[in-house]
Amino acid sequence: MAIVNRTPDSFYDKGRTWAEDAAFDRVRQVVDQGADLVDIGGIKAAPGAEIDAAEEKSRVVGFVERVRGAYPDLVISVDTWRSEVARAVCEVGADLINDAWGGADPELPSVAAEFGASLVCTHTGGVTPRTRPHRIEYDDVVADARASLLRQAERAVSMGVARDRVVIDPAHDFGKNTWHSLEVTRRLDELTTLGWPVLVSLSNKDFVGEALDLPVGERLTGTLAATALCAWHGAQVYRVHEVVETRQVLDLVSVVAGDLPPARTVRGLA
Amino acid sequence: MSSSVVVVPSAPLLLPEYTGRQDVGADLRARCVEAVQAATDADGTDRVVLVVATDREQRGTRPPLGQRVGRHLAGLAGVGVDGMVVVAWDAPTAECRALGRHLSGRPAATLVVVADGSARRGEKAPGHLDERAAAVDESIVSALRAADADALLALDPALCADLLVQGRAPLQVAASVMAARGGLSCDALDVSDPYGVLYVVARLTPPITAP
Repeated sequence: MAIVNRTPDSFYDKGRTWAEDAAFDRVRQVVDQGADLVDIGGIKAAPGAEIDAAEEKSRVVGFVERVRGAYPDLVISVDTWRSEVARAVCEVGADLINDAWGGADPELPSVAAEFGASLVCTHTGGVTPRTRPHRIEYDDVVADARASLLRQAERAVSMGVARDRVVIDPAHDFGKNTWHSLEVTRRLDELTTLGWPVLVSLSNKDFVGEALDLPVGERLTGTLAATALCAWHGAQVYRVHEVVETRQVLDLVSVVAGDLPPARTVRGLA
Repeated sequence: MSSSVVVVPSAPLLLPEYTGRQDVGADLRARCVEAVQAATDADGTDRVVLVVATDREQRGTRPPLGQRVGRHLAGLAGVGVDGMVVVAWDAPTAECRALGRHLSGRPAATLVVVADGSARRGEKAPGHLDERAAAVDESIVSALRAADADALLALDPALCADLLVQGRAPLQVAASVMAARGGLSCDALDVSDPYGVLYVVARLTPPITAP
């Protein structure tokens, strides 16, 4: 799942795809690089200028429509917590609603249900959208994530979202300090064995930066290491900035795991 | 006979369980320990009473952060904890006053107040930037510098809650004790905000009486 930000201020790309044509070029690039899905977002996760629903829609709805027109078969995800925005993007062909803020808007699943869309449920510890974690503690962060994700997933199904259209995401760094995100990574098998596909969003995040004491811009290797660990634990969707590198890591893990044959085998076999 | 009041931050990064390969809380922790030791030395005691707040976002069963931070700092300072006042982080001022009055009716003890200012002091701060934070923080700092109990008791709970001032309630409990005891003055005050949260390490002591 390649990230396509329709924002002027996201932490990693800092507005590189703020212009619509630049964002469209990014879609073309990541599709060529082997992305299976794009995740289009109109609001950065970090605190900042208030972006209302109208402004968020102006950033993403027309763009989703354009991408859908150009790529009829591409899976299009939209990163939004607002049911109003979700409705608007589903009307123009979005397939997946990535609810990155843990069900902050309780009506979101009903929109996904109405349009037959898929839904990503996330664990944020119940924090307000676009707030940073501040002294949050859990007795057991993985148990909290498991309970919250199961609750959200079952609620989505009860509201009419197809059972095979729900994805769960522990949401690294959301409502979590670095210790929490590391523990979620270490124990991800406790989430991948729940019967729902697991999405992880690791890309260049602070927990990688704090693990290695590296700033944004120098976290790719750490991101890929975390990616490999999550892949080994059975995660199925990876929300990323760097598609080529991630694809290589995932292919290698799949090959080692025996889920994918090696690409070419001659060594010792001639 | 009055006893000292020490104010220390409640940052989880002061605790060993949260410390990484770099101990980012080392300097702050050392200043806290030094303040506790200086206060107990001045008071001629090796015991303290902690004043702490409950957590703003209680998600688990562990004791409040302030309690754990206070105990850890007391341990490092080589002093025992004789008692503890736990006040709801958002307790009304009247409740803080009552807790303080109750405390001041007991034998005077060195108080260690685990309390922070705003966590909204900049765009990178945990609570992002709130333009009102600087003034409220300055009122806290100046009240401690002047050992002005009334000024601490005048802090607005709602505004402090908006600004993520974790320490407002424990500071008001301590202020209520100060008002009853009187006569304290600020001997040391250290202010910092490396991560967008106002940390104050302060030591308010009674006058040295002639033997």
